Amino acid sequence: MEKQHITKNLSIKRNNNKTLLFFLSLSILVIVAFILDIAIGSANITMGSFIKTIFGQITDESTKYIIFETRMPRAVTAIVVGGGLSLSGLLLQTLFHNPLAGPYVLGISSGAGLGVAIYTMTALTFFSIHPVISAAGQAVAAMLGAAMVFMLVLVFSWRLVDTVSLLIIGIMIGALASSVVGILQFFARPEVVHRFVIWTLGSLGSTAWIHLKFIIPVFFLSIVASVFLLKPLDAMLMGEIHARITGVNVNGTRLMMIIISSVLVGTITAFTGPIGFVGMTVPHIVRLISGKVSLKYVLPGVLLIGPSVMLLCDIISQLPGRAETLPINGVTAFLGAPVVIFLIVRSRKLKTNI
Amino acid sequence: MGEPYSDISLLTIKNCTVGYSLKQNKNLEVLANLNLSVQPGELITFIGPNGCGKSTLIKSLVGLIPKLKGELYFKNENLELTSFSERAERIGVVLTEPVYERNMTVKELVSMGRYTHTNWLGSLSKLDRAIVDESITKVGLRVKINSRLAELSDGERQRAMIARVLSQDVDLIILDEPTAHLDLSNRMEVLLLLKSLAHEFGKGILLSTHELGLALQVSDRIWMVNNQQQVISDIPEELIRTGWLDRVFGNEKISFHPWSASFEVSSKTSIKAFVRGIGILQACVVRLLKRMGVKVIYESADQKITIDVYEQDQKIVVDNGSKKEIHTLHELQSYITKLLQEA
Repeated sequence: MEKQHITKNLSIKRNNNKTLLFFLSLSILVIVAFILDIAIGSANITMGSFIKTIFGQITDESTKYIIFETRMPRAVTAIVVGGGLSLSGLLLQTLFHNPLAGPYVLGISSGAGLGVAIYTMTALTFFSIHPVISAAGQAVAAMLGAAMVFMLVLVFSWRLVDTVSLLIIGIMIGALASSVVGILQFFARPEVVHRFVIWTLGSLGSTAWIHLKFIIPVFFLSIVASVFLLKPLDAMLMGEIHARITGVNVNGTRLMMIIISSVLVGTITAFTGPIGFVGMTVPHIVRLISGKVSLKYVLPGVLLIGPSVMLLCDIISQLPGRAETLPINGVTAFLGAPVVIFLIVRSRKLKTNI
Repeated sequence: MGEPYSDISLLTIKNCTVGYSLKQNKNLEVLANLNLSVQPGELITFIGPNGCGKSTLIKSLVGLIPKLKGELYFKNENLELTSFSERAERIGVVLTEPVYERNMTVKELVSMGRYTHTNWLGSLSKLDRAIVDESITKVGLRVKINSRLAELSDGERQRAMIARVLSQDVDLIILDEPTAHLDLSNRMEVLLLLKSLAHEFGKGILLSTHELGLALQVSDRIWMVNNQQQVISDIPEELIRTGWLDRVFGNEKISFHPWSASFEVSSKTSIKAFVRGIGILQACVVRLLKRMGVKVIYESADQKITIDVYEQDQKIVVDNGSKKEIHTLHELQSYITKLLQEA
């Protein structure tokens, strides 16, 4: 009896150690990717001078500027975007009980895009606005657009049970948003349209520290709010009815998830443009690697793997070594699409087995 | 129809009407004017034909759909005023809905039963862990504690759901069709487990089922939906004696026989047989006759055939005007077939 007890305690300890090791190695991965992302770029800075600059031993102004004002904000943006989009993807998958849900697929990014389009093409066409206010306005517009589409998708999701219909609705709402954007473009001033089109391509490089001062607090607040939702979210994994009968305030949880996801996706998308595939695929990668479904593991995992993946994508986008980088959406899609195909093929297999 | 009322009723249903509200303030009443109760230590099965509103009542009881009229009490508290989390502290529920995340482990699922007891992060205390372990042991899933739900059989999954309710540590447990999709031994195991919970631990248990035979064997009381959309509550034997079971479930093809306490195919032929004798052979002869549509009577009347069964000698003597000795059931079947063709 006692022996059994001891072995049980040992196995719990071993499990704890394994979990700790898992998160530790993921953290190291993020740090390595972060440093690499800063070290690599089009400007020819050697590893030696990079390290010296970091530690303040070189005072060459242009090198300092490149590292601290261009590459560092870009890498920090990658971390926030990767973490934020993956977090919202995880929330959406839990909320919709749909493994293929994500901010991009469900049209929420498009909603944010529509918000930004309406804002830039109306406000900026008719008024001249101070850049800082303009940035904040863009973020708010994106958030509202994201929230609006979110509500719309949610309304439809109550009537639909199957995975595929919901995705088609998401795609259709995305198409609807694009068509409205197209009409707006017709009437807008060419330079505003140009600015908007550049935005839609998605970029990690257009955010400066001044924008990050706004994005980072939103990111951290979302994480804190999500941590407070861990318990009901875990129960939601059983399905909505099961969650209700075990005592979860489902409606409240759902509302919180809508707010967090809209604010997060809206804010991020406002500054970087719509970025696809990260939100949907990262939660699956975490589940596959860890073998766990509980959000107590998956959520921190997502917050570590999301940034790593995004930093990796950014590194890849800079590999050509020119001033212009590869479009970030191209890179995320190139890495993400195979994962999605794999997931669909696997779930089909599961279905026929049952 | 004795409905026990007492101060200690776990669940009291007072003048309730359940159903669905349609547009224009019209209501679709499924079951009306219900007055029912669940006492501690009592296993109640809720039976009725398909589509009679069993699930509707259960969903109303657990608060998933609003009831149309009346009051619901848990002990002496009005359930109307409780939130989902307060309900979950009082009533445990098992529904037929499958669990969405099939990669959850048994332990994770059962731990969810502690939802209302744990802190904001949902971390299990020593006591919580002990209760979860005990619940899993009680339903006999000890060895599958770390298995994923997808790896379990239907019976094991159902037992895992019951373990989740057990870990909720509540006095009243309501289950919708807990024996559906289970084979006979699993069905019996689940029902006996529930019965022991009621009798040994004093819990009140209400379950809906299609299994009339099993319900008659294990229930302390039965709620039965009759043809007038009412619910009759009584002990199983009274329902048999008063003929309610036959009236509700019987039709021109099958009827409920109080002797065997089971449904039998109504005899299609006019042939009646008077069967004498005791023992297994006699029982088999009766079954055979009923299966072939011969009406079996147990007292001498204007029957056409008399059948004497001798258990000792393993022989059957059929008297159909002339006597014939038969030694196997096969022979009897051919004999009856011939007889039916002639008639």
